[in-house]
Amino acid sequence: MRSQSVILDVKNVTKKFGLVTAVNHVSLQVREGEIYGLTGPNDSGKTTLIKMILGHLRPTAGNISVFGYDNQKEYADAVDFIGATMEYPNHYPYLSGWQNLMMTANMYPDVNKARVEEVTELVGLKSVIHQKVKSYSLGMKQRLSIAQSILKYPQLLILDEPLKGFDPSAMHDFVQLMKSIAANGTSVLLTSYLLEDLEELCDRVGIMSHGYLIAERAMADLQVGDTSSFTIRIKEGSEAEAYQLLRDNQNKDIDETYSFDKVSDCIFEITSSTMPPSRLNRILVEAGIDVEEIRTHRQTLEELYTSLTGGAEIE
Amino acid sequence: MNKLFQNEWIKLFGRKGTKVLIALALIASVLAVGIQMLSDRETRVSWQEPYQNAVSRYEAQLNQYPEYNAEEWLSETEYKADILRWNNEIQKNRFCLDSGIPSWDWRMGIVDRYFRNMQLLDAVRAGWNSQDLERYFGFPSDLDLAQVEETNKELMVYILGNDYSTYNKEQLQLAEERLLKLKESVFVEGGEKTVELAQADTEMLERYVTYNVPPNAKDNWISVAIARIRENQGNIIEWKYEVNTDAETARENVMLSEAAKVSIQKDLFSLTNNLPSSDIMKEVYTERTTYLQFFENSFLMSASVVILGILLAVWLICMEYRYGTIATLVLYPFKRNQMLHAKYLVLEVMLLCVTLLECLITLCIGKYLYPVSGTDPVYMTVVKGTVYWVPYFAAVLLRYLAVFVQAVIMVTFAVMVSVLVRSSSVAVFSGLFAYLILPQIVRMMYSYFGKFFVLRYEMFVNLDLTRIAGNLPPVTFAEWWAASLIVIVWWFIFRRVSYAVYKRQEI
Ligand SMILES: Nc1ncnc2c1ncn2[C@@H]1O[C@H](COP(=O)(O)OP(=O)(O)OP(=O)(O)O)[C@@H](O)[C@H]1O
Ligand SMILES: [Mg+2]
Repeated sequence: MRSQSVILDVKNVTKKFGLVTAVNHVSLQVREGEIYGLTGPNDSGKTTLIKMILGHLRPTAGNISVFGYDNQKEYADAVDFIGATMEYPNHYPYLSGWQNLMMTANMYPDVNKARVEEVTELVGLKSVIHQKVKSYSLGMKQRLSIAQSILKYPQLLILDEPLKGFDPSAMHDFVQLMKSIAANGTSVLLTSYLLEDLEELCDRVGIMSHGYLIAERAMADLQVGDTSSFTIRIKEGSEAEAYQLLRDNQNKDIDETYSFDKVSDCIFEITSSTMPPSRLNRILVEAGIDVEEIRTHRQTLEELYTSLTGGAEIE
Repeated sequence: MNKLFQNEWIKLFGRKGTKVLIALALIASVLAVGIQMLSDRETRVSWQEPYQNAVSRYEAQLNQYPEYNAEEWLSETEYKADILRWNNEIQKNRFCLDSGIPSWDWRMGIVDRYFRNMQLLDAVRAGWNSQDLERYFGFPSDLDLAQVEETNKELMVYILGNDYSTYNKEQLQLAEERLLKLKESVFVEGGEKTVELAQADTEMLERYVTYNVPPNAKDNWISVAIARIRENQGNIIEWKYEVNTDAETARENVMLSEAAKVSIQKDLFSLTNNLPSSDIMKEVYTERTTYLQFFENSFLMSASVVILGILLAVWLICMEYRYGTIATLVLYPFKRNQMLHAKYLVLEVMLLCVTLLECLITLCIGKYLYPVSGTDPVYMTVVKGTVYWVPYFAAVLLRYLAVFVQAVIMVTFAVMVSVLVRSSSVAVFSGLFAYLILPQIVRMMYSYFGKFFVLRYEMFVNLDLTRIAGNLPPVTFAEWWAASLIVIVWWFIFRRVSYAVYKRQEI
């Protein structure tokens, strides 16, 4: 990971609106093919940061470069790599989705009609693409925004709250789409409050609060390095045996230690950083105890988020 | 750039509202026909009708007039004067009706004189004394009644004979004699001015004789031109000898004299080259409405093009902020200035098309519904003492071109305000206010504050370029070139400001 080249480099950026400091000395990097998620409570400055990256706002201090181009001094070059969606879907509502896309396509010589059709298909708007955008639902508008942003094969995709308005199946499609885009080497920077989805989608997540970037975690680290827990539900009637077995095995192997708790009749909660659920499952099954369900509880992004932002409400 | 233009075109014309507004602007030019019809219904009546109306009105007045009553009236003489006057009017109108003399006939002047004399004679016959005659009718007390009767006989001969050639010659001879006498006499009442006015009269009559046209006929353009030249000369002489004027009035008189001289020059050019200017033709009476009159009327509608320009410009700029599309717009691989440039270009092309369409519609309707032209007029203008002219239809085009330029300038202003405030309601209000109301306010204030009033350099008051085309400065205080310069400078500033702001603004 570290060896991959840096696509987006935000250095010590601050943005003040009068007395309000919306973004405070934020530095972050997005590397090639990486999906970077930005989260944080309302007002934490995510949108402001993104607007500065896109050149909509000028930083009060610090600088931002995209592929090595300074986005103040070499704006055209910097922006050339970027595809973006805004916090709120923005289209010409009195035109059809198709017309909106064609206007964007018009701006790039290497984007032709076939590409517009391809992208339409990709975001699943084919059936409604010739309807006026004002008749679209929020999710459909969101899809149109994404279609528009990927039309020109951007190398850096910046999406401000792209998940807003997606139903579960749309969410699934989106995750697949982003992963395939990232697999082709495009970097993605996105913001969201949907922590579970971020967890699934992102390689790294940054948490912002009050204008500061207060934490940055690679998802891989989060899953391996931190304590996780899981619950096991066993078949009714073998609670006592199970309890015994768990106690016996608790410190048997130095590499597989855990602590456990009986939550209810058939359910045990196991907390461990080393014992994988699959292993414990085998121990139980081999001992003739039927395991009905295993539920893993790694330390989630949500827990990290809550601990860092002091449980600030997510609306 | 081409692509940007295409996109802006789609944005502008993809919207229903745009088409509706353009349709409304074009309908406005068709509406001119309706206005023309209404005004025709008021004015286009048979020549007899005004006379018949006058006769019945005076008869009704006479019938309703109560018996004389010493308590209610100041004097019996006044009472009688009214009756005398009204009877005289009835006779005159009846006479015109019976002898077939419409109001635009050259003999109208003679008829007036004849019946004025009749009034005198009637009064004398009824026993009025010369003191009352002067008091109630304004007749000089030293009139020779026999002479008056003699004159009236002569006048009647002309009226019935309809022989203007002889009449002109005789009048010319009289005028020349009078002029000679004035020049020879040592003391002239009114001095130089009287002599100059008499000179002007002589010149006028000479022209009537030379061109052999009826004098003061309202339906003959040559006659109208000759009368107009005399009127302008008269005004120039009056202004020249006006005394006790303040500096401001004097300055204004000089300017008015200049304008009158230009008018005279044009009319003389029309006469010598047999090319009636549209100015003259506008004053000539015609029995049916001509296309010239229709164009004058319909031209009032052309302001709709400017208003259309303001509305669409504001919309095209502000909707990007409202829909948030400005955010994606600036990410495209073009400079922000190029985007604004494309917007300007689309608006200008659209306005040019609408102006030409409106012009075309007007021309077609005019030619089709009002084919009568009287005589085909030409459009004339004087630049640096030389008369230039173009066929009238070319002039119509030129006028619409001036409207187009006006629209372009107002669009620039509207775009600038829109970029600055990003609020369509504020921008529309500013645009309409600047175009429609501000010039009135400035003109009004100018008349209070005089020539040092600095607001005259404000653009909008100088913007009425169609006035320049009509040889009038847009405001009384600026030469046409100064007004144009002011407009161009402001236009340049507006344009620069809009680019500078658009380029730098945060979104
Ligand atoms: N144009 C602006 N002018 C003044 N203040 C602004 C402007 N834009 C943002 N702010 C302020 O900056 C702060 C951060 O806003 P921002 O929109 O970046 O937060 P966010 O993290 O995107 O919040 P949300 O999760 O609600 O979208 C807010 O306090 C906001 O009031
Ligand atoms: Mg936001």
